[in-house]
Amino acid sequence: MSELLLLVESKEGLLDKTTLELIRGGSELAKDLGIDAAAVVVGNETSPLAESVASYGLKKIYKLEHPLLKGFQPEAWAGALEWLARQITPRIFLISHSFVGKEVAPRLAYRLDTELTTDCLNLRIDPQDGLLIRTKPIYGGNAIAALKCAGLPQMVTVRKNAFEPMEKVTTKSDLVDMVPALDESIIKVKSLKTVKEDVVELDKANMVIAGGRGIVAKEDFEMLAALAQAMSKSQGKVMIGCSRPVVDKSWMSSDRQIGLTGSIIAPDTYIAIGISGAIQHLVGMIRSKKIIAINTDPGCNMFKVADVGVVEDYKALIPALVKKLEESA
Amino acid sequence: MKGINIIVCAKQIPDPEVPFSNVSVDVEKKEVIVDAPNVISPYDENALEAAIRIKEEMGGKITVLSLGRKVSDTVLRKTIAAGADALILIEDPAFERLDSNSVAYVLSRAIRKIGAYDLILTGRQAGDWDSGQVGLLLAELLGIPSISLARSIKIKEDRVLVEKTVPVGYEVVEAGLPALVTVSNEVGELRYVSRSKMMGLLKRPTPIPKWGAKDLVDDLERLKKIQLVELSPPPDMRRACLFIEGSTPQEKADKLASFFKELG
Amino acid sequence: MADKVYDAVIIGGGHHGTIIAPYLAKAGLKVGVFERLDHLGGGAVTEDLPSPGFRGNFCAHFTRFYGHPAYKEFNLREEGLEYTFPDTNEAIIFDDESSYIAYAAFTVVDPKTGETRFNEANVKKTYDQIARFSKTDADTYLDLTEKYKDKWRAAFHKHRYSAPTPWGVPDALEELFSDPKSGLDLPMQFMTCKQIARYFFESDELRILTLRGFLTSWGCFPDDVPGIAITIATIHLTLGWEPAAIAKGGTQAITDALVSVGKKQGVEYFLNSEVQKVLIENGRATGIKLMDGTEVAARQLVVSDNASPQLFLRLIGEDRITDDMKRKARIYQFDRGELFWGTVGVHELPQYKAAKSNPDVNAAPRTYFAPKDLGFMEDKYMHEIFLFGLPSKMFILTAPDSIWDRSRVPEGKHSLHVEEFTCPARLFSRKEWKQMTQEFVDVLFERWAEYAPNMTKDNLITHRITNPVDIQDTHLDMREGGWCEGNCSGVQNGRFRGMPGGYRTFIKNLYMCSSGVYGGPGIGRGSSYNCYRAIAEDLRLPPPK
Ligand SMILES: Cc1cc2nc3c(=O)[nH]c(=O)nc-3n(C[C@H](O)[C@H](O)[C@H](O)COP(=O)(O)OP(=O)(O)OC[C@H]3O[C@@H](n4cnc5c(N)ncnc54)[C@H](O)[C@@H]3O)c2cc1C
Ligand SMILES: Cc1cc2nc3c(=O)[nH]c(=O)nc-3n(C[C@H](O)[C@H](O)[C@H](O)COP(=O)(O)OP(=O)(O)OC[C@H]3O[C@@H](n4cnc5c(N)ncnc54)[C@H](O)[C@@H]3O)c2cc1C
Repeated sequence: MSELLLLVESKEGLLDKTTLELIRGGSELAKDLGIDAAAVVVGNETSPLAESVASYGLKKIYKLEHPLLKGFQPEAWAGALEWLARQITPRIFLISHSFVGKEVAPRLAYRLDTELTTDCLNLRIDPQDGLLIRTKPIYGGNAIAALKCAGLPQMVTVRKNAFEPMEKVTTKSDLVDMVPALDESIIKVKSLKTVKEDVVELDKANMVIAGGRGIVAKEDFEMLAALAQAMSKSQGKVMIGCSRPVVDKSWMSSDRQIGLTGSIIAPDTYIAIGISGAIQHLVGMIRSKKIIAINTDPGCNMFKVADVGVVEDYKALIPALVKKLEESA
Repeated sequence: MKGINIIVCAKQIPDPEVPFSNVSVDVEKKEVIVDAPNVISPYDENALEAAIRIKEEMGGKITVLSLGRKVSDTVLRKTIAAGADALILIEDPAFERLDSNSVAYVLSRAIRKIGAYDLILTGRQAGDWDSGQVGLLLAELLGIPSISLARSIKIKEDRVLVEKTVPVGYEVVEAGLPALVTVSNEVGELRYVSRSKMMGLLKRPTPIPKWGAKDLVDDLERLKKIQLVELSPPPDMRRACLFIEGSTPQEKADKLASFFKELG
Repeated sequence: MADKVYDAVIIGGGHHGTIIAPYLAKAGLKVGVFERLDHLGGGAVTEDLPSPGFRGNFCAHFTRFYGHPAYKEFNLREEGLEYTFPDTNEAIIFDDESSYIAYAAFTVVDPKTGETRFNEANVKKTYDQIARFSKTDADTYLDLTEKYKDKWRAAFHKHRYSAPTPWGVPDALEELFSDPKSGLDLPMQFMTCKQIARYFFESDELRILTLRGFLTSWGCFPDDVPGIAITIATIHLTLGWEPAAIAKGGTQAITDALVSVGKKQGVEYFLNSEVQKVLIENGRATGIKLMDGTEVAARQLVVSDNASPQLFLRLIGEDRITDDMKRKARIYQFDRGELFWGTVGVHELPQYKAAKSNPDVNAAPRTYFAPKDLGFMEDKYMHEIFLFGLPSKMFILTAPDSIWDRSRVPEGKHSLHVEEFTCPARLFSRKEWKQMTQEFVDVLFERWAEYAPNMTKDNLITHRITNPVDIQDTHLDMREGGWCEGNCSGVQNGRFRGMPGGYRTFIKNLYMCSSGVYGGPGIGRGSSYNCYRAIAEDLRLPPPK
């Protein structure tokens, strides 16, 4: 029971940045405890990813390979990871609070008879008993709780950006092949099809222009689009985002939602239009370098966290702003 | 399949949508103090809405379970007004601050006590602790398949068909019943119950059973509490906002534009 | 070192802050006003509501500022504060198409000064209106009108614009109790609204209007004990003695006129400047600290335009007050006067069915429509509101101001102000308030169309209805989203309003001028005027006119 294990994730076949963050956080915890840090790559063909994760200073990389692990099927992944954990009995198990993490971690925690804490911001070791102290935001981010749980492995999912990503080192990790005992019968949920939609990645934008429930008509998002167009001449990559009510109304797809249950971003500039600034929204954009708020209500929360505020109806302000930007361009 | 038996788990929490000025942290007592009325956790409302739509299509019965130290029937009665058939409150001082495993355990005991069911719906995560694991844990405990992040749910014979949100778009999956599905906001908000309907309901009250720890749990030792080491307020997010003044929208827009010019 | 220095620093540029500022400046003090919001006026503002082209009052709508001493003292008419006076006054229309209109017993003869004259003809008209449903009440009307004219009216005015007398010394209104000809006696001080309505009137019509009036003017529900001042104010409303008045351009005109005077007197106003603390040294207020850390020194005094809980628990601070004050500030109640409130823009004015027999109901400045169900209003109304947010039977107040003030609407259109009561904000979630407000609008138009068939949603252009959460979020001192800074009945009434000390707080040089002290809530009430008097006494400044 000597290892810290972390789950490697990929995005479009490449190593995901959140994994590098886990490696940083995990390596430090392992060092504190004087144990090794290792990672597990799951799939039907794990070599490329295992190779790429091998140069970040981890002791071992487990290649958990099986035909049933093709793509991502939560039950199969949970089953395989359960098998691995029983073989190597890790002391700590770190998983990103990602789509995969949210699916796998609770199932796995149950099966390993341990207790999971999700969406952690920070982790440290209690020197008294060697347990993980898990820091997580609660009440949407209105309070920060630090808690401890019994059970082994000590298991958590970690929020994006909680740690700086790890840099490459010259040494290579040992690669260990593992073939889990899995059979078809554990899969009770059958995937019929996956429908790809145009998905925006708001974290790639320099400027995000976000609309909220204050935008009264779906067509009014065209004003935001015109503003984005005008801004893109001087502000780099500009994208449109939104708060949750806009998704609830099906005016935008959920990949554009910013916040606790949407994307967590930190663009150079964030423009919030008709968004009141609920805590669950703020946690998604508060790290933006500049925050500009446009709202008719001078008392709204968004102004409290903004650098620049305009108390005005967007219907009057945005067209005027677009006009001015275009004139002076 | 004729008539479906659905169980919806709905937690009661302080209104998560109040401004942050209404929330404070008592560091000493390790308590979050929210100056807000209690509500049904929003994603659990979505779960109830999904249940009602299924029931509307094929008939059946919806039972709402709510667990806590003290659960208010006035908050939860709304579930009946919206379309649930039964409401069971699971409350006991022993249920205060339970960890997710224990919550799932007590719920699983309650569900076994209820007996037959086809589908269990929960919200994707609770609006206070945002853990997002009780649903999946509950399915594991009951030994039934689970699907998370549903944006639409359909029943086809003895199977449940779910569209779930995935990073590249959505995935259509299916599982045999009984199954558990965790529900996301995309399914739509819980229908509004007009005041007059609520008033009518008050005149014909539905009996609301209450189950306590002794009805459900043989060994109280099995219940574990969240072990809080520390509770602190969030880092101060405030910035000094520079308000752009002007007598017309155009004047404000012009000033804002020059601000962007400096940025760009 | 302070960042700024004034003789007098005012916390909050709300209604009473904007009143007291020019008084202090006129007395020669250098005055700085620090307002949290991006505009002055607090509850006295008019905005582009419900949408551009329309002008609506976000808070106060019904005002009679021409009666305030500042109107003359600062010649506010010259500053653009102009009132118009419809001849009709209160009106109520019932679901059986019967109706009642009060015509002002006093009509304004000089709009510049607000000077009025007793109007026999109008009294006769009102008498006839009441006589249609109750001869006894019509005679009561005549009797009370005499008493109002001879006794109540002067006492009421004096009471409003002078500081409360100490306990045991009767004030202007209490003196009436020992005057056998006043028609008032001591027990009335302790009657509930329900008892008052029943005591003075026998008809369901006037009883319903009186009970609804208690709410309109003071947020008092039927089982509350209103006290004598509120009782007189409400009967006065039921019988419509003083003229209804409409400020041209909306309530904002009051703020604009006061601020214009203030600026001429040298008052400096600061917006977006939330005060965090009153600075106190050796028991004296020495200035204020803003949220952004700025410190402002006050050479002579600090005046607070805030309600007691904010002033005592936050701005002074719990560590500086006694346990007794802490308890009193904490139990200060805010669960009356919560409203669904706002402006609706329409194509055409309501054409009430009741106008067939009583044509003026189509153009009365304060028109209620309500079921003729006294039992419901007396016993069930409030309970339903507290349980459900909306009552099953609505008692709506509407004000078709655009008849008299065309500046508030686009060419050819109209707007009406609407009001119905609801429960404190804390009883429902944010989401439920949004949903309930929508339901309110739906039900409003369903009901309205029953009284005036053209008031369907087809006639609606836009609306902006605020609920208690909207008010609470924008107005720190209107907790729970009511229109008053704390309930106005019982121990928060009259000389007991606010905290012991009243205008003069226990901290030297720290004064309280808001509607949270004696004078009570509403536009043009006496708190700030009386507070200035107290200050003038203490600092030997010239008294107000
Ligand atoms: C567990 C949980 C998770 C959540 N996750 C998220 C999340 O990830 N992201 C998210 O956004 N929310 C999330 N929420 C919801 C969140 O609590 C708020 O309900 C939501 O953010 C509110 O969105 P909004 O600000 O657009 O709407 P509102 O709060 O309704 O604000 C609308 C604003 O528009 C302004 N406005 C109105 N008209 C105009 C106009 N003409 N011009 C300019 N301004 C105008 C109003 O003044 C108001 O400030 C979550 C909630 C819970 C409980
Ligand atoms: C919906 C509604 C309808 C109403 N209708 C009527 C009506 O028809 N007729 C009528 O006569 N009255 C009406 N009123 C009541 C009337 O508006 C108030 O009684 C009046 O405004 C009270 O004046 P005030 O000076 O005590 O408080 P306000 O006018 O509220 O002034 C207080 C000021 O202090 C500011 N402030 C608060 N905290 C701070 C701080 N920490 N630092 C700096 N500034 C601060 C506030 O922003 C505000 O501007 C209504 C009120 C509401 C809300």
